[in-house]
Order: sequence, then C-alpha cells, then structure tokens
Amino acid sequence: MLDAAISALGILLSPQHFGYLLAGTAVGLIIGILPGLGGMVGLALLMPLTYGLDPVSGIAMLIGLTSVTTVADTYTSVLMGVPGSAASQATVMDGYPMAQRGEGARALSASFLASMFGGLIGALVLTVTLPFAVPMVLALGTPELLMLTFLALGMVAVLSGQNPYLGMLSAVSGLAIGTIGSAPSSGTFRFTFGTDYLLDGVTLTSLAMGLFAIPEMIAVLSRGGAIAEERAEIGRGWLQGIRDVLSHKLLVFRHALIGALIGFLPGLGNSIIDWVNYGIVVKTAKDKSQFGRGDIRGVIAPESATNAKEGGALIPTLMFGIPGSGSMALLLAAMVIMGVEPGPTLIVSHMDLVFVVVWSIAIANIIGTAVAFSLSGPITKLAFMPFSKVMPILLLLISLGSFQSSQHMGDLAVLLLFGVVGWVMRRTGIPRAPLLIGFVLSGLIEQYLWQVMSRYGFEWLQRPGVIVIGTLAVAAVGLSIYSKSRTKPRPETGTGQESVGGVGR
Amino acid sequence: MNTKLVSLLLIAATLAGCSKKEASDGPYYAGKRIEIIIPTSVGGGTDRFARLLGDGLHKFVPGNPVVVPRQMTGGGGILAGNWVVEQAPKDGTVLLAGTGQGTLRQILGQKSVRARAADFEELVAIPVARTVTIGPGKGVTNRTDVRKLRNGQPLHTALLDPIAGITFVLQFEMLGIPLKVIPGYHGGRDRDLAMFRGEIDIIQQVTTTFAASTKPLLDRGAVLLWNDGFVAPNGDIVRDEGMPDVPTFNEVYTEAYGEPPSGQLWELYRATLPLVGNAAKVLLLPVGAPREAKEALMEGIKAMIADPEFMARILRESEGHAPIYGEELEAILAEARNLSPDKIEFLRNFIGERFEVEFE
Repeated sequence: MLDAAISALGILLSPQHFGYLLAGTAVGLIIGILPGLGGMVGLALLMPLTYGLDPVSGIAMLIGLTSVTTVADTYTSVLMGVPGSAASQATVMDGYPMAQRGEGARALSASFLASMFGGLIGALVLTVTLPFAVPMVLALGTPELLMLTFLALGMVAVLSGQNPYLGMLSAVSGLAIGTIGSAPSSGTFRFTFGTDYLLDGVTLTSLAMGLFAIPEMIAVLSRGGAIAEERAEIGRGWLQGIRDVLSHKLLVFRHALIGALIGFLPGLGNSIIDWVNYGIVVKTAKDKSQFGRGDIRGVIAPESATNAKEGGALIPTLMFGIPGSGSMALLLAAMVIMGVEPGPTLIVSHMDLVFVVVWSIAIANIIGTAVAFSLSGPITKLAFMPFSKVMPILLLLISLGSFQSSQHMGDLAVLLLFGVVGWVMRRTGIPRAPLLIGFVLSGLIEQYLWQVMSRYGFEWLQRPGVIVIGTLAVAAVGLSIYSKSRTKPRPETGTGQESVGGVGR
Repeated sequence: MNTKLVSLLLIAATLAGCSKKEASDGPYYAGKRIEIIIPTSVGGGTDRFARLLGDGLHKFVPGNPVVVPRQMTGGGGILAGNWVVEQAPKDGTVLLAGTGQGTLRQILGQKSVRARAADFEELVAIPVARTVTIGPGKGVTNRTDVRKLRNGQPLHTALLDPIAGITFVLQFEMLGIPLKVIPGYHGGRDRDLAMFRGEIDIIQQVTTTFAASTKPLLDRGAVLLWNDGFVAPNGDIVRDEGMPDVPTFNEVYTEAYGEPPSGQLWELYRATLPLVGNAAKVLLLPVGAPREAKEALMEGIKAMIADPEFMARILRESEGHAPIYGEELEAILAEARNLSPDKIEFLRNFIGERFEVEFE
C-alpha cells in the first residue's frame, strides 16, 4: 500500500498531471469566490473537459476543484455577508461581524488555515480507512451493495430538503429518467420516443448543468447586478488569524473529524454541515457571549468541517461506487467517462488511483490556501465583479460543455429542459440532489437487482448483511420523516442567500 | 506550318505530362490516406492492436500512406461492419479492425448484422488465447475433478457475449455441465471481483490479462482448468506456447472422461476455435479494392513482420503470439468460412435457445 501511495505521488507530480491539478485548483478558487456558485457548478463546468483525458489528469483536476471551493467561498461570506457557496453560510455569523469591526483579514486567515487543516485531516481519514477497504469490499457482495444503494438513495432523498416526501419524489424521478435508453441487462431500448439521441439515454453532463448551474445563475442575476450593497474592507489581522487557529488546534481537529463523518454519511450535504458544526461549537463553548458578534471560533469550526467532508464523502464513492451527494455523483460520472469504474474493483486493482485522489486533496488544499493568502487583494476584486459580466461567459461555457458530451443538438435541448426543471425545483423547494443521485444510481440499481435475482432469487433478502443495512435504511428514513414532521423548518439565515436546503454542494 | 508546330508541341506536352504522372503515381498508396475503422472503444485490446498495425502500415506500406484510426462503436461492433460494407469506399482506403467473434456473427447471420464474411478479405491476424478458471467454492482441486460436476447444479458464470465466448459455451455443453449466466457484468474486473466473492463460479478469460486477472484468482484457490490453445495448420489443436504447462480443453476432457470429445459439438468447436482464437483480432479489407491495394498492404504487413523492432512491439502486445497472414491464415479459417448450412443452422439454434441472441 505504501508503494501505491509513493508511486501515486510520483505520478501526480509529473508536469502534465500537476498542471491539471493546478488548473482544477484555480477554477475551484474562482468558482468558490463567485457568490452562489459552489463545487457542484464547478464540477459540472469542468466535466466535459475530461473526455479523452487520462484518468490521473482528470481526477487531479476535479479533486483539485472540489477541494478548494470551500476554501475560497469564505471571501464573500466574511467581507460581504453573502455566502460564497452553500457551505459557508455559518461562516457569515461571526466572520462578517469581524470584518465590520475591521478584522476581516483575521477572519479570512483563520478560515483559510482552518480549511486547509480540515482538508488535510479529511484526506488522512480517507487514507486510514483504505487498509480496511479491500476486506470490506470483498465481504460485501452484490446483495449488500444493492441494499446500500437503497440506503444511500433513501437518506439523500429524506435528508437533503425540508420536506422528505418532496425529496423522495425527486429521487424517484431521477431513477425514472435514468431508465431512458438501452437497458443494462437486455439491451432493449426504453422511452426513446423514436429519437436517435435518446438511445444512449439522457447525457449526465447536460442534466447536471441544467439542474444546477442554470438555476443558480438565474438566482444570482435576479438578485441584481451589484451583489453587495455594503462591503467591508479586508482590514487587519492576518497573523492574528494564524495564531487563532494554532491556539485552537483541538477545535480544528474535532470539527474536521465531525466533517469527515458527515461527509461519509450519504445525504448530509453542505447545506447542513456548516450549521451542525456551528451549533456544536456554540453549545460546547464556555463563553457563548461573543458568538454572532465576531467570535473567531465561529469561523474556525465550520470551516474545518466543510473541507474535511470531501475526504469522508469519497469513502463510499470510491469503495462502492455509491455517491453520497450531488458533487460525488458528478465526480463518479466523470471517472466513468475516463474509463475508471469507481467501486469495489477500483480498490482491489487500482489502489494507485485512489492515492492520486488522496494526494490531490492534500496538495490542492495546500496550494489553494497559499493562493488564497497571497492573492487576497486581487481575488477580492473578483468577488465584487458584477455578475452580469461573468454570466455570459459562464453560459457559453455551460452550453459548450453540454454540447461536447455527445455533440448532438439533443444535449442542448436537455440542458434547456433541465434548466427550466431545475429552476422550478429551486423555486418550489424540491431538492435537486436526490434527482441527480437517483439518475446516477438508476443503472447500478437495475444491474444489481438483475444480478441478485438471477443469482440468489429472493434468498438475497435473508442474508445477514442485507438485513442489517435494510433495517438501517428503514430506520433512518422513518426516523427522519417522523422528526421532520414534528419540527418546524429552520428559520431563514438572513444572509441574503435563498434557502439552499437541498442544493447539495 | 504553324498548326503543325502547335500540334507537335501539344503532343510533346501531353507525353511529358503522362510520363510525369506515371512517375509520381508509383506506389498505389502514395499520398493516400487509410482509415482503420475500430468497432470498440479506445484502450481495449482490439483498439491497441488496430493502432499498432496502423502505425506499421504507415511505416512499411510503399508510399507511406497516412493512417488514421477511427472509432465507430455501437451495437457491439455491428454498426462498424455494416458501415464499412455498405458505405465506405472500396478502394483500399478503409480497413476494418475486425474480431473473430465479428466474423462468426457474420457467418451465423446475427440479427442486424448486414455484413457477410464474404465481404472481407483477411489481411493479418493476431491470436488470442483463452483460459477457463473455476473458483474455490466448487470442490474442484485438480482438472479431472470436472467430471464430478457433470449433470450437477448449474455453475454461475458471467458471460459478456455468447458469440465471443462460443468455445466456452461449447466446452461445457460437451462436458455436460450446466451453466447459468448472471447478467449485467460490464467487463473483466467486474467479473473477477464476482469470482472473488463467490458470486460466480467459473469464467473464461483472455491470457493477455493473466497477470492482472487470472493470477490473483489462482492465488485465492481458484483452479486454471485449461487453455483453449490454437488450431495448428495441420488441423490439430495444440497448446498455447505461452503456457506450455497448461493442457487444452480436449486434453482435460480425454483425461477426465477416458475418451476424446467427438460428435457435432466437437466439430463445431474445432471450426470456431480458429475464429475466436487464432484469428481473434484480424485486419480486414472490404472486397472490391483494386489488386494493387491488397498487394501493397500485404507487402507492408510482410515488411513489418520482417522488421525485428516492429515485430517485438507486436509480440509485446500479443503476449508472444506471432501474427498470421496469407495462405496460413486462409487455411486455418477455411473450415469456419465454409461451414455447411446444416451446421450453421445447428449453431444458430444452439445459441438462440440458450441466450438472448437473435438471428435473421
């Protein structure tokens, strides 16, 4: 395993691969800075570029991107009180007050450093689980995997929005859309309506960009060209922020672990991770008086957690090919495009690629943090750019990227159609991540179901592993429906950002 | 006088033009472009073979034509064959990177395959050897144990394509061991893992993936039952020289059952083994190309095989199996290409009854 780790580092550090890692990191920083756009949009933008790319370059680029969006999204949260992405809403609570009293730099540097340590700890968590990966993968057969996909789908559906029934509706729609095209086991064509385009099914890139990128752009645009009416200066305190993080080492460590755990559990996406950690740090602090008025701990805790979650979320994605969130679903799809099949076989036969992922997270975090520190002046200007000027470029990139996937006009039709669908879903509060995950899992569930039924018949339901996972699935879904029906939805955060519950990441 | 001069000049000019044209015309492929149509996706065995031979054609065919590999995936390779036969120019500028199973599909007349074996001439073939491995769960510890499985519980297997796996299917029919195919496996690694977990019991693999796929299985107690081997020019089935210690199917059968395999199934086995074995990967020229084209291509192929450096590249790619061409290739494929109608009918029914394959 050590061999694989070292050779992976060697491969990643070759000029070409490293160049792609840098490119991904750069795009991730920019996407993170632009308010409202998160890693999901970034992934959707870069995904078309992975066609024909070698797996190491592609993986380095995409992991580089997802690893740093949550570093860079802090700028606008702190300086303008507008979250740079869904993952930094809680940072606003204490970061913005600090900026208003002239300590923006302190909040930013603390957040960058906390993010970096969080990301590194997340990568470490992923690494530590790897020795157990092969035995685990071999112990879990197709029946257990089938049940795991149900568990993941159920949890994503129930947890990602305010209303569990809407989440399930969304997930089931995703499953249905995934059945378009040729059937995985028999090769018969379904729901093609006589068109050539649908023979291979709806293209994932177009679907994802339609669902996520377009509605986000409309939302930001409709808030008006000027994103921030009031803006605070960066202010002072760069060194103080670093000292803050170093004196709160345990806090960073604790919340990074919590973040990795939340990432590992499917369905608990960005929209809650920062708030959960903010809640914990407030609850466990002795002196609560400064929270909400600019307590540095309120910045450190959520920032450590949001970056650590990537490492955790990659565990089910890489080991079982089951994405726990929208962005992991996209990453998974991109890997398939490059000829890498995430899932049990990847762990057994391609440990080096797994380590490419680990190293990419670590390196991207370090580089991202260094860039965030050193270029904070010019980068801040980017955050104040009117979105109406950025939008045409993004729209062009999105259309190109979408068309690239199969070079058929149908791609653009799908993009447009799901742009409208996504916008309607965003406005009506139907979570979109379950739809995407349902779409990605659709083929896998069908394949597993075929294999399990023809291999075991209904006996598969009697396997102990299946019963345990199945019970978990029913309990988790049932419990959250029960508890959600009794509690009121979380109040609006008052950050100027629309409720992002269910956006995924 | 004036008109005489003009006509003389004209004649001279024409002659000069002709001779000039003749000189530049030299090799048939000078200034031409060859497209190799590849029916599988980038990076697979057929793709790598086609690109390698494409490079060889560019270097060794007189006139050094530009060679462009072009992917045309879809329909399990059927679309590419149809396109080459129905739409591609027949002047030697379009070649097909074919497979033995593709040719077998054409011979059997699988549904929507509109190309026929007679539409192509084989230029050069690269052999692929196939092994059969049984997992540890079935109580088979040595090769002759297979007789214990006769008429027993079906063995679970992942068969991606019954035409490509025709020898595998016929072998178990001859042994009288029932197979049950579990659907939905995408490729080699998927199946290997299912073997690891005991979800499938038996698989056929190609020896090019031996180190990555078969070896780990053997390390976990699986047994390598046999290597299909190849058909020799004299008609005998011989061991794969890459695995001289591993017996062929017929050796194992004879040892286990006390007599060599025989009958209709055995004859079909012998006829189809050269297709999916000896000529598993084959470069095809659509019929109708001018004589010069085929001669130039064959000249290039002979030259690349004679070139030690290039031959080494081929052997690296093919696990040491030397390419075959010309009369040797024709002789080996003769039986398959001249299958009698009743044998074709038998094989169509045999496959059609057991698998979801439809024939015209």
